[in-house]
Amino acid sequence: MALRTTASKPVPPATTTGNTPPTVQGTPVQADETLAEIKKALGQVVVTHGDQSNPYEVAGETVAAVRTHLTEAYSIHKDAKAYVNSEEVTGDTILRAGDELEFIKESGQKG
Amino acid sequence: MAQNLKVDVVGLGGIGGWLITPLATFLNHEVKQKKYGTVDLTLIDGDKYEPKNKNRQVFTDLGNKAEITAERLSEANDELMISARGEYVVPTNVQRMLRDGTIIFLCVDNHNSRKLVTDHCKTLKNVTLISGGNDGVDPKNNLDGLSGNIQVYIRKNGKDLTLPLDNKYHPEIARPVDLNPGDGVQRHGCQVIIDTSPQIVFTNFMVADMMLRAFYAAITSGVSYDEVYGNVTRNSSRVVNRREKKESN
Repeated sequence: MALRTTASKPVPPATTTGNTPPTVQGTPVQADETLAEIKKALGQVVVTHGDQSNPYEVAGETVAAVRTHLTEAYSIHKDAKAYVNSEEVTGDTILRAGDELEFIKESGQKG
Repeated sequence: MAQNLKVDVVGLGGIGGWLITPLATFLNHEVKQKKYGTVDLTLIDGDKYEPKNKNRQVFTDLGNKAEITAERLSEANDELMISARGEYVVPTNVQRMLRDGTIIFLCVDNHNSRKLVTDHCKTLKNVTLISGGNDGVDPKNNLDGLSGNIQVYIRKNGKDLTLPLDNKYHPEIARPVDLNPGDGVQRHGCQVIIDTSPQIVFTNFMVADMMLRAFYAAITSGVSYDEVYGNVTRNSSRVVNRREKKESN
């Protein structure tokens, strides 16, 4: 699986011209549409670890597959638990568009 | 009439040793400006400055960290009431050491103490607990020593406004396997982790900075987040509000 991130290609911001509704990539959207809904429409999953958080096009993939591909880039600890939309999940969980996957980083121990 | 403020700093090592000087300078100025009536600043640490600390900590005399630091700060901050307690916070003294209505900076180097203090804070009516920690350099565990985080636990009128340190996302604090340095080895037996991984001074400094930002928010606009993660080389931080996210689901 090749992870495709949109982190380097951010979603174009909603624009407003006169009284016309805001648009994203030319498609009319409601002004109150949330960022999560936009990401869902684009098939994105936000993957987070520590200070890092980026959208990836990994809907349909398992949590374990995403972990494998991001372990090095995100320095994910082998014991870091995975949470999808704030609920702890197992590695075989299939990600859906709009999900927020976080590999929880332990609090720093030292000081 | 200006209100009084009580601030405790627990741990004067790699993080606490850095944040204490700007904290005292700021508070001293606030009293001069009559924004506070009095400020009690209490430094707590049972550890001693030793030559081996020179790579990350600034001190001129050897001796108890709380006492040496309190003496140094008192000379430059004559508006503050600064006191030192040269002992570790342990189960037998936590009630006496950390009182209701205090802002506590928790700058310790073990999760055991974090668990002890957060449990105690749960029993207080009003308290702001700002805890910080950073990774050591530990390649075996995929830790480069450049990341750290802070957690902010606020209770007001007996209710939690943010999550305690030992919330479900942080089992390492809820069930610590390390040692409180003042708590004796026997209680922990074979669970004790001997952690000698080195630290990077800039990571200590970053965490100290994040804790001071949380403090300033706490005494001005208020803190609405539970946690902040930071990294030195990416020069980035991420604010986390787990409670709001949970409630909105």
